[in-house]
Amino acid sequence: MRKIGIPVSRDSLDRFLVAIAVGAFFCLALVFLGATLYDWRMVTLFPDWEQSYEYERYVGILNIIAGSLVSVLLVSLLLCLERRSVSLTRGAVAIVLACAGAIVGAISAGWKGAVTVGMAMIALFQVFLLIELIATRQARSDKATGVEKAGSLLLHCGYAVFVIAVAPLSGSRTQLPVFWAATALIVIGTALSFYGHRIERVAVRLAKGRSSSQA
Amino acid sequence: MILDQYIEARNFLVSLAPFVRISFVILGAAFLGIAVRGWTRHARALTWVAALLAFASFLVIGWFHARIATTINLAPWLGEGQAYRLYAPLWIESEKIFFWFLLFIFASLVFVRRVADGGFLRVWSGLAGVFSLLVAILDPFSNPLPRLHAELLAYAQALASQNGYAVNQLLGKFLFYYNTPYMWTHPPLLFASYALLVTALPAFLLGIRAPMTRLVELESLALGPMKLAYLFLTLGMLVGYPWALEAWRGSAWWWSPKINVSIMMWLLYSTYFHSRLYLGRKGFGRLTMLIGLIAFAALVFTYVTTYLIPGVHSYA
Repeated sequence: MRKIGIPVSRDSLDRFLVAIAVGAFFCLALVFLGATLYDWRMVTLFPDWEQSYEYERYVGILNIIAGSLVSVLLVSLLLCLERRSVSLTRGAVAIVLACAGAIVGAISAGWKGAVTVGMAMIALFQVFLLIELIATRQARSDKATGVEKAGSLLLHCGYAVFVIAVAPLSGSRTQLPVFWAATALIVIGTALSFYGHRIERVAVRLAKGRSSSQA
Repeated sequence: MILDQYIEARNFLVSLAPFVRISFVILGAAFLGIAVRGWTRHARALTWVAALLAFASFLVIGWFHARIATTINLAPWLGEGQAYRLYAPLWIESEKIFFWFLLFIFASLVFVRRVADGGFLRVWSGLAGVFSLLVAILDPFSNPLPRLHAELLAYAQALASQNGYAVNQLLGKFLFYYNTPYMWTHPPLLFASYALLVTALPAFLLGIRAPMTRLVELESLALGPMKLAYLFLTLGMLVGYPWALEAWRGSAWWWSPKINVSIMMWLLYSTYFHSRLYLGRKGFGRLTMLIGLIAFAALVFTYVTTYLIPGVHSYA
């Protein structure tokens, strides 16, 4: 078993990573709930609140909080995916590279550069893992089939592209094409990760049918 | 603009309202009877009856919408050859709850039909009963599409009095709200998702207190509808994004309450799918069931937020 500072079993590490992802999702959901309740209270007290300077400031603060949590979420999901697909070392290297890319992006083009480069690197890692999955024809590992794993990689790649579409590309001409590409990745990826076993079963049946008809 | 044939079709729908109400009250009572008395062997037959009743009602509603599209010309000055038609979607205003129920019954025909778990069927029947009674109370026949009806009357009056401002405003709403392709994709996908999520709900209600083996069994009953629901929910929300960009350009619409709670709901269902990866492990089973329940509460909150909290995506 690989050691990361303290001896840790693969199972407990996987569970810990999933717990982080669950926690990040839940915290983000709480941010949205809090924002809803706060907005409701403010609109009730001050009907013109959404036209005020305070509202602009409030939106700015929420963007920073939500943006930070989305980053934590994507990094934890990346680590989970890497952990389930390849080794922890490669997962850690991927995250370090993504963070380094984000810092370089931030230095050269501010927060837009950071998000674009960081997310693009996360998306590229998913593509890299997908190519590797196809090249090695890794049929089964853990409980997931090859198609399910490919679907999971595609959908997480889609979310990274989606973040690029909605944040740094906001208002640009490329926003909608990038958004639709992300949507296609997310929907196809989700469908494959949910119904991969069925798709594989149908594919195997079709292949058997073809080989028996040739015989 | 001539509204005679539309008014005739609308009056026909209103004349059917008492029969529809009584049918759904009887249906609701029968479902609740199954839930209370435990006659679960009749649940399947009653689901088919509900599906037939809901589908027949939906056909009548569909006919009414077809009459709106074929008999009303929004631009009478252009003549029939260049008629502007109004394609009112079948899931707006008073039709929302009914459409949700219709999809819930169809989802149940697919996913609950083969369920043999008595406890699950009882809770599901209870939900179906409450849902049927809700349809009886908020039926789409008594006062069909009240807001659209008022808008059509106002539009006819504006045309007659040659009030250009009012004509432009209402015509804009007809063409860019009711007729937009987004209105025909975003809401039905979300309603399909909501219907499937109600279908899965009994598993979470029962699973929260169940021992681990039963909890895993119950969760496997919920998984089929949950997967399809999540797929529809994700696609439905994504399809709404370009529409939001068009409709609310320049505002921070993503922090508007209705959008906020919708994202919150999606996040909670995403939490469920990550938590269930370790369903059989200590702590994760009950946590997953709890997240499923919280996510459903978020779904109800999301629905009522439209009518409760003011914002760009709300009627409050």
